[in-house]
Amino acid sequence: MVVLFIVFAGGDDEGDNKSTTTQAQTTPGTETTPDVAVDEQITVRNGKPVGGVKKLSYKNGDQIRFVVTSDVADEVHVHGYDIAKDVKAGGSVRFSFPAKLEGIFEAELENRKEQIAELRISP
Amino acid sequence: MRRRWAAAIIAVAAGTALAVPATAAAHGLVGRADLPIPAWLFGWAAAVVLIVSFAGLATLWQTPKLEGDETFRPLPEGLSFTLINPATEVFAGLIGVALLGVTIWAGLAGVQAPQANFAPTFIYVIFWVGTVVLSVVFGDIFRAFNPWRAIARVAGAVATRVSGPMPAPFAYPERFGRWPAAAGLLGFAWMELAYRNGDDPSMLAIAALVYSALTLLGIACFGTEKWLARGEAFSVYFNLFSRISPVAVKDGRLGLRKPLAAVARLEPLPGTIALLFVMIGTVMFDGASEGSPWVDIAPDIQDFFIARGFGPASSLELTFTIGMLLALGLVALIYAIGVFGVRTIDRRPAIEIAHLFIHTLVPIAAVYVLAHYFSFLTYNGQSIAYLASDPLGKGWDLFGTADRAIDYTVVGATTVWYVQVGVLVSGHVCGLILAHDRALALYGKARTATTSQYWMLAVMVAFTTFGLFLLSQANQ
Repeated sequence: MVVLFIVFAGGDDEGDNKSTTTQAQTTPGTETTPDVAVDEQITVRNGKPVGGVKKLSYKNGDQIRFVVTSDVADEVHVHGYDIAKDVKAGGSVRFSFPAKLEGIFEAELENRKEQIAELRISP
Repeated sequence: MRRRWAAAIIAVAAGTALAVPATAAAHGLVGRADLPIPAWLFGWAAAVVLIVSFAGLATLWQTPKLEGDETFRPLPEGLSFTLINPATEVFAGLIGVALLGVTIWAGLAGVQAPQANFAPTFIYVIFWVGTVVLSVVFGDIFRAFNPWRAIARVAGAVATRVSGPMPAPFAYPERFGRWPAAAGLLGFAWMELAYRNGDDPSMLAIAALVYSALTLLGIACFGTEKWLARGEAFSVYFNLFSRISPVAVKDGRLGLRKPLAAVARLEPLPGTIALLFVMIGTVMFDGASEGSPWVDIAPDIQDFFIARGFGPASSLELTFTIGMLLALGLVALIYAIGVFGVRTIDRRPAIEIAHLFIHTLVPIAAVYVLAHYFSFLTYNGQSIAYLASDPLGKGWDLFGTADRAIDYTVVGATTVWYVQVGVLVSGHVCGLILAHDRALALYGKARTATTSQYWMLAVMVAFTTFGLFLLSQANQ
């Protein structure tokens, strides 16, 4: 088992290198202006997310920003982070919070139990 | 985690305009899923598995060390008596009965939202996964807390006092072996993984009542100890895992044995092979259902059934049932290849060889559970704190913990990865040790034993790397 841990420790370094090289490709919301944080847009029509469940990826420490525009009134709930905000029919609601919990979390219209986004936070 | 995909598949199948029939089950107990283990970690872990395997073959011991090892070193009398005495036995039994009672009561009388009711989290997280961890570390603790054993012992004592000695139970048909337990576990896994109302609190309560009735009937027919050792699914399941632990109780005395020695003592009764296939196959399917290729083919299977007149929800149940059976088949196939290989040097019938090595899969089954459900237990397990205070979801605060929340910062994704990979590799090593030891006992000289081992080694490598593969594919 000692051998195992040494090998794993070695693997850790390797991984850090690799993850930094791939970071540039996976950083979200940077297609247009890399330096300015842009709110991701999630549009809900007839109680469903347009274009399917929106997939958003972040690194731990990033700022998660998105706006939900909905044609139905509901509560937008981000699981795990446990942040919930009401949205009115025809209105929009803005989220901005630091990505500090790692894993894959759902954002849903709480009353409809409809998932609208998937937040992916990597170490 | 499955239910996220279930929701996605239903949505695809039903079309976005249609009402989605099974969205109530779309969340279940999880609002969080694990990140897939990164490719580099998968590579390293797989490499370690191979190196450990071949290094092991070259350097492991030359005479059996676990086979027939009955070593039992009693722990100090004082410690043993403090933990195991008539009072603690009664107390543990009471806790078991109380927990069963609260679970059934909450399921029937509480709010029917899975996350706000005590029953689903207690059954699927604390009982089903938590007890596995405790069994591997501390031995057969479920035996102490088993509510059905407690009820049966009290009922037996009362009946004996009222109407004299009880008639002897029926002889348990030996050909049944562990088949009832294997069937019970398959039913439980189906309920968890495929049944549309799998985490519906009242359904779980009724299932618990029905299962309790069946268990007490089995006990009444065949006697408490016999039925718990052969037929009662959870007793058999947790007992298998507890055999990994060095902690044991012998004649009422707490002591230590060699870890894994009790696994090597597993009697090859009928049904044991099926039991292990169910244990590994169901967890394998739960892991596989989170990633490709399953996520890609499941909608096609579901469409196949919808086209034949089944509703979307029934089609999904059928799809997941098929997936679960496919996983069982895959486990059987991998093991059969190993058995076939061993037969190149040992001409006994395949079923005999299969029985001779089946115990080597016990650690594999344990680490599949631990790797797959580690984060589920660490995160969702915390919710038992507020559910205990408000088991019915009616706004109570019995223990002042009702406003607790799940703290997702207790471990990060990196820790989850290392634990998952670490336990899979440890299980691999344990399986390897057991197979080596059995081969030495069967075939004497290390040289001959090695030939049989190549095959069982291939089985272990297949299960471990496949387990790693599933972790790297999940939620991609």
